[in-house]
Amino acid sequence: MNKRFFWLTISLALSISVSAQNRFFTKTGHIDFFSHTAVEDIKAVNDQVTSFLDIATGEMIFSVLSRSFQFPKPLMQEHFNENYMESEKFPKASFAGKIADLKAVDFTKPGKYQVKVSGKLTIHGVTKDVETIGELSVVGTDKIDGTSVFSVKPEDYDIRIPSVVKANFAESMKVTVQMNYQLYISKK
Amino acid sequence: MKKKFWRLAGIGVLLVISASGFTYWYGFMRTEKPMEKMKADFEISADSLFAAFSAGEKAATEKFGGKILLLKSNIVSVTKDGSGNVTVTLVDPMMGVTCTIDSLEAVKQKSEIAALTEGQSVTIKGRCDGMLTDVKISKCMVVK
Repeated sequence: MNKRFFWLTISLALSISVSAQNRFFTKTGHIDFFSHTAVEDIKAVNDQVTSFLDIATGEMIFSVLSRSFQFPKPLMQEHFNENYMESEKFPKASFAGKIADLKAVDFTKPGKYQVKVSGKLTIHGVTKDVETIGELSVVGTDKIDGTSVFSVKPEDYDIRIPSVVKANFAESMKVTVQMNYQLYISKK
Repeated sequence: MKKKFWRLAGIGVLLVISASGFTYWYGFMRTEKPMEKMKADFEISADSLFAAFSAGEKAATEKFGGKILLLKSNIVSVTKDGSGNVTVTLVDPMMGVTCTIDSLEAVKQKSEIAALTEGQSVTIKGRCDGMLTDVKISKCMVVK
């Protein structure tokens, strides 16, 4: 999956010069996840998300490195990478999908548009079909913002949490995605 | 005999208190070591780093992943996001090396960051997280 994703993103990137008006990207997208229990709140932030959006086809790709999630406590980060995500074995998580109702968005007209997105989410080496609602904000001809909030259950992705600390984790993590896409203009 | 018992018991209690204190500190109070105090594992140019990942991502991730790097390169761009994080792009805007200086560090290094300009040579220290289309370096600070 990682290799397939890499070549997909590279081919998207290389084709940008051919149809630059259609493709937007960010390398500094934001994803955070939040877990609330009576024992503790756990929040981690990743501001290094790479994502592409093709407004002609509605295709979207997101990719994150597990190591780039920042936790308030070093021990949480160590456990996340070593015990739960196994970041050495599964360094990336990704989503590859499509906006289902692309015609609902007028990319020539600034405004906010609710969209339905479906695709394949890969975490910890496990791929699942997912569907969620998001919002695209057309800011201008060269800038689009995207947001979405959805839930992820660690057990769906074979992430094992030891019973001794199970009470510290919510069954579902609230995931918030915020992308600030720019029209890509090659400097080469 | 009684004296020896109390001495041993006292040492035992001290050991338990020390162990509990260490566990509490290690788990709940320990803060991250600042990047300025971290010793670089590798000194490498951003071009060589990207070339290493392009030649073999798995091997490069094993070698550089999680390691502290001292990177030298010319700046392609410097941007700041709404949260105050600063991104310094090296080598190429899309397929290069992306260094993130988080908002707290960016406040500390305000004047160093303000002096960064496109095309200028820079030395940045940070932790290598791996590669997407670009090599990601986080927890960065400007060294020179």
